[in-house]
Amino acid sequence: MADAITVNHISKRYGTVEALCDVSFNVQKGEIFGLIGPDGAGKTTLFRILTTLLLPDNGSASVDSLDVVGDYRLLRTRIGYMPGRFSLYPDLSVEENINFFANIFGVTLEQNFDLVAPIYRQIEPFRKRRAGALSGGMKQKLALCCALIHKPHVLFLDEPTTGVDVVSRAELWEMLADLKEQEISILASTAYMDEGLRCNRVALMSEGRVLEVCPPPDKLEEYFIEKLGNG
Amino acid sequence: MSSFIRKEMLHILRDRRTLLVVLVIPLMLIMLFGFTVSTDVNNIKVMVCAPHRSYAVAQAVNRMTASRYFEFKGFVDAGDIDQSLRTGKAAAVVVFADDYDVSGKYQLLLDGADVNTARTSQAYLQSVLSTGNVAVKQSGIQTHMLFNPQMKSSFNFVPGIMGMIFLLICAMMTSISIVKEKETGTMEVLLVSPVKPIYIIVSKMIPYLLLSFIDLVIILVLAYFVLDVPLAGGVGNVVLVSVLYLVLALALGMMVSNVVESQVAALLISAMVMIMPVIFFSGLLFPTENIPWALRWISYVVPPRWYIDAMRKLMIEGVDLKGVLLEVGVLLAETVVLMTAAVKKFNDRLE
Repeated sequence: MADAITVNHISKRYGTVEALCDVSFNVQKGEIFGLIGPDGAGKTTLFRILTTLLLPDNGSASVDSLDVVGDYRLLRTRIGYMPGRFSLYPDLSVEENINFFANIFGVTLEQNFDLVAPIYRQIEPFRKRRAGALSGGMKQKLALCCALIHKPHVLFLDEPTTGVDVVSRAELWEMLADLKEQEISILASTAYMDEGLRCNRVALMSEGRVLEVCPPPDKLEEYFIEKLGNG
Repeated sequence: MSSFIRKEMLHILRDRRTLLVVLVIPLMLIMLFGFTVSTDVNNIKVMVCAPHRSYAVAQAVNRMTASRYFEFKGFVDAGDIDQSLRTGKAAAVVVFADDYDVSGKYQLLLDGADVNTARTSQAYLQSVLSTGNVAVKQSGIQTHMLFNPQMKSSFNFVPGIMGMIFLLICAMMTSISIVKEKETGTMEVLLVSPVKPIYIIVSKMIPYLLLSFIDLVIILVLAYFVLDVPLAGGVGNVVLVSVLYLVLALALGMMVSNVVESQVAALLISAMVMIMPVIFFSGLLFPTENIPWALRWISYVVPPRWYIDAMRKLMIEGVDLKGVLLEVGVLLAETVVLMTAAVKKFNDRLE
C-alpha cells in the first residue's frame, strides 16, 4: 500500500534564510502524523509545499500518490488544508462559509454529512452567526469542518490548536482520532508537546531540519529538549 | 461558480459603508459637476460705450437686456472703461463704432483675469450682437455652435465624469478584492481547491458589474432629466458602450489586484495609474489636442479618453454606433488584452 505522503529531500530557502533543509519522511495511510517543533522550525513552509502552494527548491514530494508539483491541479481536489491563521470569511455566517466551500468542491453538506457531523453538531447552534464573531475554538471547528467538507484523502492541519482553550483542544484531537477511523490520513503540526502524544508518529523539527521520526516517547518534551541539545 | 458569485455579492452587501459610498459618490459627483463646477456664465455684467447712440445701438442693448445671460449695467465713457473693468463694475464692455449702423463694427473689451468667463462672454456677446444687425450679418462670420448651441458645460462634463467614475469604482473596488483575500489568508484556502483562476476572476467581476450598472442607470437618469443632456445617439447605444467600458475597468482592477501584494498598494496604484491619467489625458478637463506629442501618445492608450470621446459623440452629437466604431474597437481590444493579462497574471501559488 502506497504511503499517504512521501517527502524526499525537500529544501526551500527564502533569500538567505534556509527554511527547510533536506527534509525526508513518509506518512502512512490512515495515520495521524505530527510535526513537532518551535516557531520558525519550517513547519508552515513544509505544509505549503505539500499543499501545492509553494514550490520546493530541491527534492520531491507526493501526496496521495500525486506529485505536488506536476499533478497539483488534481491533488488540490483530494486534500483538505487548514492554515495556521484563521482563513475563512469573517463577514459570512457559519452556514454560508460551509456551503461556499462545499460548492467550490462540487459537493453539498448533506453528501458528506456523516463525516463532518460530529464537528458540525457543535457549531450548528451558531450557524447564523458571522464567522468573525465566533470564539477561537469555534473558529477552528468551523475551519476543520470546511476543510473536511469534500471528504479529502489527506488532511493538513497547520497548528490547529493555537489560540484555542484546553477543553476545545482536547475536543479537536478527539475529532481527529475519529477521522482516522474513516481512513483519512492526517498531517498536523503543533508547538504543544502534550498533543504530540496523540499522534501515531511524530517528526521532531528544528531550524528547517527533521531531527528524528519516531512514535511519540512518553516524556516527549524532555526527549525533544535533549535532542535539541545534541543537535 | 454561482456560489462564488453569491459569496462575492454577500461580501459587497455586508460592507454597507463601501456600498453606500459606491452608490452615493456618482450621484454627488454628477450633481457637483453638473451644477457647481460649471463654465456656463449667467448674468454677465455688461456696460456699453457708444459715442453715437443710434437706433441700432439701442436695439443691440435691448437684446442684451432681454437675455438672461447679461445684466446691463449702463453706459460708460471711453475714458472710464478701464476703471469699470478693474473695479468689477463690468465684466465686459461693448464699444460700438461711430458708424455702427452702417459698418456693424464694434469692439469687445473683456476682463481676461477670468479666462473662462471671458471666453464664454465673448461668444455670447458675439452671438447676440450678430443677430438682427443687417450690417453685421453681411460683414461678419456666421458662427453656429452645433450640438450644444447654449454651450452648456454639463454636456461636456457628464461624459467626462462617467469616464472617471466608472474607472474609479470598478477598478478600485476590484483591485482590492483579490488582494484582500491574499491579505486575510483566504486565498490560501481558495487555491487549495479545484477553482480555476478564470472562475475566481469572472466571479469577482460580475457583482461589481451589476453594482456599476446601477451607477450607470443613476447617472444617465440624472444626466437626462436633471442636466438635460440629450442622449441623442440612443440610450441603447450609450448603455452598450458603457457596459463595455465597465468590463474594461473591472479587468484593469483585476490586473492590478493580481500584481500587488497589499490592499494599500492596490489603492495607491489605482489612484496613481487611474485618476491622474484620467484627469490629464482623457480630455475631461483639457483638450487632448493641446498635449505635447510625447504625452499625447499616453493619452492614446488611456481607456477613458476613448470612452469619453465615444460618449460625447453618442450623447451630444447623436451619432449611432457606426460613428464610434474606432472608439469601441480600441476599448474592445484593450478589454481583451487586460482580461488576458489578468488571468495570466493570476498567481496559482503563493509565490
